[in-house]
Amino acid sequence: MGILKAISEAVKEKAKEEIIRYLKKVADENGSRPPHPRDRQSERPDRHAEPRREERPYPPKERQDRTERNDRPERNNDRYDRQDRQDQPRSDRRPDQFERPPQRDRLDHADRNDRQPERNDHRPPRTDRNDRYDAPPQEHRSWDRDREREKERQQQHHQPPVQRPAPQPEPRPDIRPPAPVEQKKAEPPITPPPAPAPQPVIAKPQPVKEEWIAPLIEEPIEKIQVTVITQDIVIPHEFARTLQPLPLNEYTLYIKLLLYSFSIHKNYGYLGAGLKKSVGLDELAQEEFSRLLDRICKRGLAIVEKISEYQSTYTLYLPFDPETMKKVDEKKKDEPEAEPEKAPRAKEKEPAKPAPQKQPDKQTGRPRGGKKEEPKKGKEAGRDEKKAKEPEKKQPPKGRGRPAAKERPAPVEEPVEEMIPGRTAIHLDDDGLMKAYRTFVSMEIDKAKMRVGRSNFDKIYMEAVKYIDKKHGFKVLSDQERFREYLTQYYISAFDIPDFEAWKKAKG
Amino acid sequence: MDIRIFMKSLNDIDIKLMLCKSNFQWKLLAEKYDEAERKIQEFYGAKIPNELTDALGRVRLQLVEKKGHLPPEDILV
Repeated sequence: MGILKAISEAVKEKAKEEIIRYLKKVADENGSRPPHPRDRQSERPDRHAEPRREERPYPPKERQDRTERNDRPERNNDRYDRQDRQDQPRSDRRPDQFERPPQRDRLDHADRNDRQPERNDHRPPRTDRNDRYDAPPQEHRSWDRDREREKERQQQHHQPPVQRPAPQPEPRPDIRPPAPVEQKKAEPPITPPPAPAPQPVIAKPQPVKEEWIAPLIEEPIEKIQVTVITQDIVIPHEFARTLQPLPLNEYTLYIKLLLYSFSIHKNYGYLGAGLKKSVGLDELAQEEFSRLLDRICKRGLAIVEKISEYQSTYTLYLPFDPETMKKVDEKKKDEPEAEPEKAPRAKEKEPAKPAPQKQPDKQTGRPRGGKKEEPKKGKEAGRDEKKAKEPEKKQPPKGRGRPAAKERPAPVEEPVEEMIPGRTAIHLDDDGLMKAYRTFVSMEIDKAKMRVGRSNFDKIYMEAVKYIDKKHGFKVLSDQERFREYLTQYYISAFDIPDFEAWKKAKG
Repeated sequence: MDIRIFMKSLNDIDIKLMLCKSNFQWKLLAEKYDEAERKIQEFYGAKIPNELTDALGRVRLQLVEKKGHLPPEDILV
C-alpha cells in the first residue's frame, strides 16, 4: 500500500508539473499575441496564406469568435458537416433555425458585406450555426480579397495593426470630397470680385439722375414784349427744324408756351397753376409739368427764376422775326422813324427809363394793354380815339391805389402815339413805373406771407374771398381777372402796402 | 316736381364741391350754380320758394368757402 501510495503521489506530482509546464507554455504563447482581439484579425493575413482561404468556401470573418473557430480544422470540419446537413430537404428544417434574419449593423451596407467585428461586438453570439446566410455572395468574394490585400499592404508599409482605423469611414471621404473640395478651392478667388462690384453699382445711379441734356439753343434768353404785325404767328424755318428732335411732351409744352407768349405779347410770366391752365395743360400733374419745364430749360429754350419762396418766373426763348414782330419798347421808340429795328432784345427795357415826360394818365402805361392794342391799331383807327378817352374816366379808381387796375387793358397809348408822337415817351415812363410798382406789390405780399405764416395767410385769403363775394358779388369769384384785381386790392389794404401814388412819391 | 329738379341740381353742386380740388373745377361748379340760379329766377320770378332760397344760399356759402380753401392763383401775372 505504501508503494502504491508513493507511486500515485509521484504520478500526481509529475502530472502537476506537466500541467504547470503546459500552462506556462500556453501563457507564453498568449503573452506573445497582441492584447486585443481586434488585432487577431489583422494578423490573420500573416498567419494564413491566401491559398488556404481559397480552400475555404465560406470565410466567416464577421465575428471574432467565428474567426477563431475557423482557425481550428475540427471546427471547420464540423461546419462542413453542418453545411452538408443543410442539403437535406427543406421540410426537415426548423424554420426558426435557418430563416432567422441576419443581424446587421446599420452601417453594414457601406462595407459591402465586409462587416467590422468591433461594430457588431455588442451583439449576442449567434446560437444558430447556419453560416450559409452570413456568408457573402460569391461575386463579392474577390472584392473582399482585394480589400484584405490592401489592408496587408497598409500594415506592412505604415503602422502596426493596433492603430489601424476601421476601414468603414475611409471610403466615404474618398468618394465624395474630391469634387466639392475643388469647387471650394475654385470659389474663393471668384468670390472677392463680386464684393467690390456692388459699390460701383450704387454709385452709378447718381450720375444717371443728373441727366445731361444737350442744349438746342445757346443764345441768352431775355425778357421781351413783342407785338405781331400780321395776324399769323410765324416760326422761323431753322428754329422749327431745331425743335423737331424734341420729345413729344417737351415739344408740346414749348409750342404751347410759345403760342401763349404770343397771345400775352411777352415771353415771361409767373409760374403757377394759372400758367398751366392758360396753356391748356390744366390736367397735367404739377410734377410732370415741372419736370418738362426743367428739361426745356436744360435745352436752352427757357429760364426759370425763383423770386421768392413760393413764386418763380419763367422766361421763354422767343424766336424774333423782325418782319412779322416788333418789340414793344423799340417800336415805341422807333415809331417816328417808321422802320422796324433788329436790335438785340437786351436793349429793349433800357430805353424805357430815360423817358423824360410824365403823363397824367398813368393807367394807360400798362404793358399788356399796350401789346394787345398794337395789332388792332392799324385796322381800327376810329375806335382808338374813343378808347383814348376811356382811361381818363378810369383814373379816379386808380387814385385809390388799386394795383389791380394794371391788368385791365388800356388801349389809349397806341392811338395817342400815332396822333401825338411825343406822348409815347410819357406812356413808356408810366409803363415802367407801373411795372416796377407791380413788382414792388408782389414782393410786399410775399414778405407779408412769410411774416404772418402760411396758415395765417390762408386765413387772410379766405377772408378776402368772403369779402369779395359779399362786396362785389358771387360772379366776381369766377372772373379770374377781376378776382385777382380785388384780391390784390384786399392784400394792399390788409398788409398796409403803399398805393401807387404814395409809392411813386416815396420813390421820388 | 320742378322744385325737386332744382333742388337736385343744387345738391349735385353741393356734393361735387366736396370733391373739388382745383380752381378750374371750382369755376365749373360756380358756373353751374349761376345757371341754376338763373333758371330758378326765370321759372319762379320774384316768388322763389323758401326751400330753394335756402338751398341757393347754402350752396353759395359753400362755394365761397371752398374758394377760400383752394390754393390762391397767382395774384399778378
